[in-house]
This record gives sequence, C-alpha cells and structure tokens, in this order.
Amino acid sequence: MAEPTVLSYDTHPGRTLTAALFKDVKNTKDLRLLLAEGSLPEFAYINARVVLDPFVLQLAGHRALAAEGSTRMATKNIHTELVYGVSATKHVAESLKRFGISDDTTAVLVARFDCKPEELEAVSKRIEGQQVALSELGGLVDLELIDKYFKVSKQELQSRGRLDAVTFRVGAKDCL
Amino acid sequence: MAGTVEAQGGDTSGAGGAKAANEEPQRITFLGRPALVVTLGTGGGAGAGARSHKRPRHDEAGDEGAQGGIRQVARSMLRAHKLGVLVPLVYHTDVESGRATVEDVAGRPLQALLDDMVAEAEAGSSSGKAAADLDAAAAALGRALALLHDGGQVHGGLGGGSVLLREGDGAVVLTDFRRSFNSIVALDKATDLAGLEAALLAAAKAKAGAQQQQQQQGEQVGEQLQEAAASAPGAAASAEGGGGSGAAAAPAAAATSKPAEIASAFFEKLLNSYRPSSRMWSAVHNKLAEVRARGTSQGGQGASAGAASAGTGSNKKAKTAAAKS
Repeated sequence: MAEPTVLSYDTHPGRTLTAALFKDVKNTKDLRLLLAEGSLPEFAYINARVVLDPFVLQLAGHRALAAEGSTRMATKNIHTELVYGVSATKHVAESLKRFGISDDTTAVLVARFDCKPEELEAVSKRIEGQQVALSELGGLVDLELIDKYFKVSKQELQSRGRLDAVTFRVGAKDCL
Repeated sequence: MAGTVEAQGGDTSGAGGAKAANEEPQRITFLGRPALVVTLGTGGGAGAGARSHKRPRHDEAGDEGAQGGIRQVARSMLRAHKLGVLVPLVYHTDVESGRATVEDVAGRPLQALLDDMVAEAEAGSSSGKAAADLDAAAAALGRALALLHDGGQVHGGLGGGSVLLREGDGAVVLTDFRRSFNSIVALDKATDLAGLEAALLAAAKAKAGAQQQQQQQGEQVGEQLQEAAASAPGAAASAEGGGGSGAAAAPAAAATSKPAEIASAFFEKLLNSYRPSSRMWSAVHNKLAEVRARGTSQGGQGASAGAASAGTGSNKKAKTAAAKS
C-alpha cells in the first residue's frame, strides 16, 4: 500500500499538505454524489489526469494558504480553493468542474491541509481504487488535455516545456 | 543586495494606496527553488488620492512600480512567455500588496558581459571568450525582441541590467517588466529598441567617465608615490581604450571610447539579428531612425523624453490594459 506524501511550506511554517493518489477508481460517480451532498470529509478531490506534476499541487497549495481567510478566496473553503488553484482558468465553476472529479474520472488525487492520519484513512476507505505513490502522477496525466485546458502554445513547449507553462499560469493566476 | 532574508509570503503589511516599488528584491527559497520577492506596486501608483480618477502624470511615479501594477507586469510576462521569450517564471502574486514571487534566474546581466568585453579588448585580444559570448547574446537578444514585438508586446525597460544571460547555455532571459505593455505600433517597438541602445551607451559613458577618473587618480598617485614605474603601466593597462595619459582624457569623453564602441557594435549586431527575425521590420526601421535621431541630440534625456512622448501615444493602450485589469 503506497504512502501518502506530506508537503510543507517554508512560507507557512507548521502547515502541511497531505496528498494521496488513487488510480483505477471505479466509484467516482458515487463519490461525486457524496461530495455534492456534503457527506465526504473535507478534502480537495482532484482529477489526477489534469495535474501535471506534484509541484503544481504544491504551488496551488501555497496560493490557497496565502489566500486563506482573506477576501481573495474565490471558493468557500481552503480545499475547494486548492482545486481552483490547480486549474487553468479564473472561472470558478468551470475550474471546479474540469479539475474536480466528474463521472468519468478514473484517477483521483485527494489532498488536505494539516491532515491527521485517521482523516486520510476515512477517505481512503471510500475510494474504490488503488492507492499509488504521488510520484506516479506523471504516468497518469493526460498531456493533450492539459495542453488544451491550459492553452499551452507550441512556442512555449519548445522554449520552456509544459511544466513551466503550467507553473506560470498557476502561479500568476490572480493576475491573469 | 538583500539584507535579511525573510521567507514570508508577503501578505502582511499590505498598506493601502501606493506601495513603493523601490525595495530591493528579497532572495528566498520557494518550494525548493531559488526565487525573488519583488514589490511591483498595486497599480494605483501615486495617483491613488486626488488624481485617482485620472491617468497619472507621466513625469510622476518615475521608476516606481508599473502603471498597471502587478497585474500588468504578470500579464506582460505571461504574454512574453507564451511567445517563446524567456522570462522568469511567476510563482505567486499577491494583488493586495503588489508583491510577486518570481524565479531567480541564475545568470549574469548583459552589462557584466559588456564589461568583460571591455576588459578583454583592453587586454588586447579581440576574439576572446567575451567577444564570442557577446556575439551570441546579440543574435539571441535580437531574435527574442523580434518575437516579442511581432507578438505585440513591448518591454519598455531594456538595458544592461534587465537582460540576463542564463548560466549554462547563455540563453537570453528578459527581466523587469515594470514598463512593459502590449502594443502593435511601430513607434513603440522602435522606442523599445532605441531605449536599449541609449541605456547601453549611457552605461558605457558612465564607465568611460569612471575609468577616466580612475586613470587620472592613478596618474596622480603614481606621481606622488615613488612607484611611478610600477603604477603607471598598471594605470595605463587599466585605462580604457584611450591608452596614454592626457591624450586619453579627450577621446575617453567622446563617444568613441571603448565601452561605447563595444555597446554600439553590440547594438548593430542585435539589429542584424532582429531584422530577419521580425515580420514588421520596415515599419520599425523607419521609426527607429526617427527615434534615434531624436534621442542622440539630447543624450540620455532625449531617449526618455522620446519614450515619454511615445509613451503618451501608447499610454492609451497602457491605460486600457490597466483599466481592463
């Protein structure tokens, strides 16, 4: 059974972001319904196929921490803010739809700030899929979809590569 | 450069109104990467009070912050990046405080390479490493600017300090987008180029002046101390271009000093690379002649006055761009 990854932030000492990756998830439809009802524990539930790299998650996490509690939050809690943060656009509803889980999602990335082990346990139990190490994210990602959502240009791919292109957009999101 | 390094995100002390953008960037490590925290202003500029409903006067807010604030800078950088021009990555922006955390690109400023070239030239070699690097940099910068301009973006603050040569491959990275705005107008692009030339020549002139001073001081010291034999050759060797003592004073002050020669040669090579890479060359070329003529008659001030008047023409664009943000 793979271990979750715990990320920390120099800029926000003491805060952590715990992330776990699940592939071949069979019950995303149910999960989505439960999430809509509010019966799932508060986590960020992200479509893993459109997160290019753990760095992107960490970067979005930083943004969420910086925005927490202020008027700059675009969504209602820090975890939905994280889902918003990894997205390509400023459009909140679209971001949550495309980057959150939908009925045809097969790989799910869950993340929670300052997470306790039992909280992650509770979520892992609800997900019918195989937990793998976060480092396997690269193998699950849909590059075409990323290029489409993030509108990555050919010149960008050539000059700096996809990760930099996505990083830029995620980092500068509030100004775009 | 940076005093104490504070690794705070920068969302405290967001005092309302204009934020001075002249603070030195802090060097930090951001999520394991070297980064800089820069303060760019919130976009209200100095006119956040009585003139907040009007465009700021163009002689105000000189070098501080961007007219459109952090949004304008971040957007300009992203536009440049999308066009294939290398810029520092933006990791985080804090709109309220006008601060941004950007990639700290490892490399040296163009000015350092130009200085190396001057040193090399004085040492007598004209085809050393600095010369080769400088040629490559001119070609790369010409291409990058052509890409930028063809894509409808103007940097607005080109100079020996805002062009970095990346460590390792020497690739050209543009930084300091505080005065960048989008424009398809040939005059703006020409002004961008002329501004670069003026900045390089101004730096060359300053260097020539400083070296001349050094040289004169060196001569005085050499006369006073009995080590004239040792220090005079030393002073002569470090004297720029001009060579001997008094004779050096006059040419050094003139535009034919070594640093100025090198700066001019660099700029010409840059244009040679810009020309074939740009789709808009003929329009820019015409305007460039105009702007340069206007510029050289008044030295450095002319260039910035030219930039200001060109700026007012394009201020509308900058204003609309800022208004949209």
